[in-house]
Amino acid sequence: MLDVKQLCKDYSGLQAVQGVSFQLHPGDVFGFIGSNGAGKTTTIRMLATLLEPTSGTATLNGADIQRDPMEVRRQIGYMPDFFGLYDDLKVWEYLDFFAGIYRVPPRERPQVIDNVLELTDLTVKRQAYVQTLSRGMQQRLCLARCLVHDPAMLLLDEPASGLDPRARAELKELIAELGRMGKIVIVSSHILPELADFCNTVGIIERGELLAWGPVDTIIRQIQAHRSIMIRMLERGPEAAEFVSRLPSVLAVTPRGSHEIQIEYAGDLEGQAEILATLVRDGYRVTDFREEQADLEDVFLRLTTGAVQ
Amino acid sequence: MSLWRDLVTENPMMAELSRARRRILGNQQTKTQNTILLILFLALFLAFIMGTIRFYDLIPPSAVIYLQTGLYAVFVPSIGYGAIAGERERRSWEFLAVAPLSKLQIVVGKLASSIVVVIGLAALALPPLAILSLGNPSAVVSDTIRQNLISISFGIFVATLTLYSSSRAQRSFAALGMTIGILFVLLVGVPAVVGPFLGSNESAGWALFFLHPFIAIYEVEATVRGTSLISTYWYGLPQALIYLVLAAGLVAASVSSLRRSEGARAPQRSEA
Repeated sequence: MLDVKQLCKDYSGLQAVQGVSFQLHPGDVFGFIGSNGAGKTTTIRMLATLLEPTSGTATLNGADIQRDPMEVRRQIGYMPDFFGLYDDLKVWEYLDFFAGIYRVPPRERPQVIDNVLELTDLTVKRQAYVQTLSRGMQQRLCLARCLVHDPAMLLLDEPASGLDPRARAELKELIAELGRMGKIVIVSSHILPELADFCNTVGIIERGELLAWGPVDTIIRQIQAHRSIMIRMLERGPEAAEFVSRLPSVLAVTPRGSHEIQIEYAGDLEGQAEILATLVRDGYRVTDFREEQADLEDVFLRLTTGAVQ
Repeated sequence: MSLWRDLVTENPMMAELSRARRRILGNQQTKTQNTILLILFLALFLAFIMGTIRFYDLIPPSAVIYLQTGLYAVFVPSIGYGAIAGERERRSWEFLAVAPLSKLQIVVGKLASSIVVVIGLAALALPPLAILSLGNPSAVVSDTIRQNLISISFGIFVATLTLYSSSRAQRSFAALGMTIGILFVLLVGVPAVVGPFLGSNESAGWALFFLHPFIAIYEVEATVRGTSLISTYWYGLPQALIYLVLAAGLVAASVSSLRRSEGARAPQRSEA
């Protein structure tokens, strides 16, 4: 379990991270959302023991990032936003080098390397030189390097930056798989649709402050108190809007052109079905009736102001 | 023993040695090119050995040690300059920084390949040294040993100086430039600038150039010939000891430099 409490980082007066707190459990894939300069990388680097916090603590399975950084390092795999690989090595040699650094016993290394290569779909590149790999493959190799010591937590800073759509899709699937394997995965990004697909928990950070964190659905419910329903009529749009506004639990009705109406509704799913039934019963010809779900982008835009430090 | 185990026998960073071996021995694109280079090197080495056999009574053993010391000053920096600065440059340093390794383990691992080069060059110099020491009637074996100690300890000093420069610099070539610059000032600049002003004041010159490896190696022979101010059997050992102490200091400074660079530096790019 990762327990982050009141983590702060100052750079000569500039508060890069201010009192960030959250908890994550095995299997959590945590999307760390924020604009450039919001404090994502600083937080991740503190968790990776690369930066000392000005105040606050974080413990991973009981190991404190400041008091016991070596134990934390044994349990994490860290992939920075920009990274370089040893071009003069072959793929398996590169992984063998890091397996050695993480004290994987020599007899177990070939099997471990085979496993991580298979997981990252790089088996066919086992004997290739690192410099010959494409950007996407290098990204996956970097992830394979993070996995050679079977860490409890992965810190991935902008892992999909610079990847083509196919490589992005493969990486997303891989990260989701790591979550299913019971690892804590922290993924930072400012590309929201990228995170929405595979994160079960998100945190939104702005100007160093964590504005919200928790399961995606919970956060969406927190910011969207009412259901928003879009109804499309074949005809008599304004008349239908007038009719719907008189129904129970309907808070507001906004006509959208002559055929569409949007309603803010405080009732439950039963009541929602009843609205549709009532409209049809009264002779309105409905062509579309759907609840509009807020997504991460809506949440992000509603919570943040766009300010950077 | 625990320190020896942590830093040498069980230091995972010793894997750097195999990378260095590949860099030094397999730097070319093809195996053919590597083989040609190896054959050329062996031919040169063999010619050198044959030369020492042919002219054993004319060449003093110190000539080989001068050559070895000169090679240390040139070759060791060219091997080690990218040890840490190169990692920073290609942005792979953070992978080592988040590994469960102490900074001392990283520094010792990075230093190992340069030390192997120092020892390797000394080993290559041994056959000609043995021929000249045993064959040349004016050679004194104990002199040659002390001269070699000065040379090898100077080589280790150069290796640690290179590593220290690499730990301070953000760019590999800056580290190389820093190392070559310091060595040039110590070995050439100071003697060239100060030497003419000393005139016939031999004691001032001796004191000033006590740590100059080439002068120290020369002085070992001079003590035997009776021209040195201090004619002592132990001449040369203090210099070797001082080089080793300086090397230890530079290792400590490199570790300190790496520790300082963490904790205070803001992330790169625009992210704060």
